[in-house]
Amino acid sequence: MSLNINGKRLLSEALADAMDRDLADVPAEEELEKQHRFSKKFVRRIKQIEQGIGDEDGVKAGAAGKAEREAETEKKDGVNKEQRRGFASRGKRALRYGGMAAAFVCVIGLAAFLSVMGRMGASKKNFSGGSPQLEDTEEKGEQNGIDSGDGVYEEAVDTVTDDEKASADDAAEVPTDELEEMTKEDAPAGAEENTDFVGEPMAPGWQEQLLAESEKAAALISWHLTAVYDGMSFALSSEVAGSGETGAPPAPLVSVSRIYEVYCRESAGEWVRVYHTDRDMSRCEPDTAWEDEYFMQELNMTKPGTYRVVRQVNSYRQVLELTLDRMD
Amino acid sequence: MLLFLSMLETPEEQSKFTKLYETYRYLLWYVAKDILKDKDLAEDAVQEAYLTLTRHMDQVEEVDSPRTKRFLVTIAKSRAIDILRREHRIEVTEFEDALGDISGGDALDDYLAVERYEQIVEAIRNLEENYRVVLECRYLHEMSEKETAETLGLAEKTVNVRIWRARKKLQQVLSEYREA
Repeated sequence: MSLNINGKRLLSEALADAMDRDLADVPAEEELEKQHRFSKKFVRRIKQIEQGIGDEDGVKAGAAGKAEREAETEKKDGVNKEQRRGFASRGKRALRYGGMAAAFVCVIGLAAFLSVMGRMGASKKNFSGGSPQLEDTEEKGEQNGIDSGDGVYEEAVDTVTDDEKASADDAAEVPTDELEEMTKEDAPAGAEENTDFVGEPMAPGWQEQLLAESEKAAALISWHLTAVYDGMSFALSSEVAGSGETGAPPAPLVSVSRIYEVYCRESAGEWVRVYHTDRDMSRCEPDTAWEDEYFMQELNMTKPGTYRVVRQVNSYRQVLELTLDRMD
Repeated sequence: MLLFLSMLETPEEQSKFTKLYETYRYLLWYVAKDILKDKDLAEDAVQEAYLTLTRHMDQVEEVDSPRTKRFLVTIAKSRAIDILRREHRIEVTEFEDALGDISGGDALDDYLAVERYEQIVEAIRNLEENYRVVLECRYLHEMSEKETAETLGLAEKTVNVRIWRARKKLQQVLSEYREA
């Protein structure tokens, strides 16, 4: 059933011509960009390929590598894959059965690091990208359509002293080129202290260090609450800092994860981790903005209280404080 | 996913992959959407196409060449067809028991020899995509049956059947042109 030489050549040329004629009708890329914006999930997966394929240090491929990484994670966090899945499924179950009861939920959003910067606002002129929401966080909340009428307002968090911040800065400084290695299991400096897990109080000073790191992350990407949907989910918007003025050095590459940890403030004032998952980093282009939606139940935010949600930005963690007023 | 990643080993391949992504993602999405009629499924097809591409980087030469463009389009179409099949939107019958017929000759050579080139091109354009894709792999991209099978995610035996059926279908379309 083979074609002769001429037949093959002719068929090949005809197939090429047929395809070229089909493609001649394809709109220009600019038009297609208007028609469709690739989802963050898509971009993240493509970026994973890009990040992985040229890794000269060697990507641990295949089942063996996966098992090895799993073992490392288990050793580090003291929790295995099944347990992690348990948290996720527990969140989903809670979402399924608890969703209807989640009325009158109010969420107060505040980027804690931004609030810290807000205190420092005037003295940090190079922080213009995120400063508007620092200088008047209540006003920012209203701008975001999260006003007191919705039971939502903003308040500053003043938890970090300069000394604490300085020491935390030293500990938190991790070279950006180590970013790729941190996408899964690694954590910034100080992470080795973080051996406790969900339900257990954190080590003293841990939250302060978190906020100090968050301040650094803010220089790379802003993060704030933009909407609350039916008291069940909320949306957080992110905007990557641009390259700035003409002639300025190019903006650093930014990779960011979704929320991977949630802390809840207990009555005694200590922070207890209530949610933890792997960090799945995706690279972001400068000057891009997007929104992520999260289901509160999935993050184990199941009772009224103050929560701090955490994501990874390059080698820093970024923190946002959310308060659930009440949950009927 | 890392299994796929491990197949691209050098920084050169990574760089080429990035260029291919930046150059063709929207084109591939459009091609996939044309088949799937669904923006999100088309996105899935593009993602799968790029994953498939990681196994065929050695077949990609110049990023901007028409040959590369066609190669990627074929991969995207094959992934879209695969998704379509998975979504049960079309039924692709392989007729495995029709293998016996393959040994019999067909008259495609004769048709290709006498029909006008324009008619052949139009006949190809009127072929269903699942037939076109297999012909593109085999004759346009000059893949072996094994390579075609890998690209389309099919068994070699299935590829053999599909090629045969595609040729029959093309022959049928050309025959209809002649009668018309």
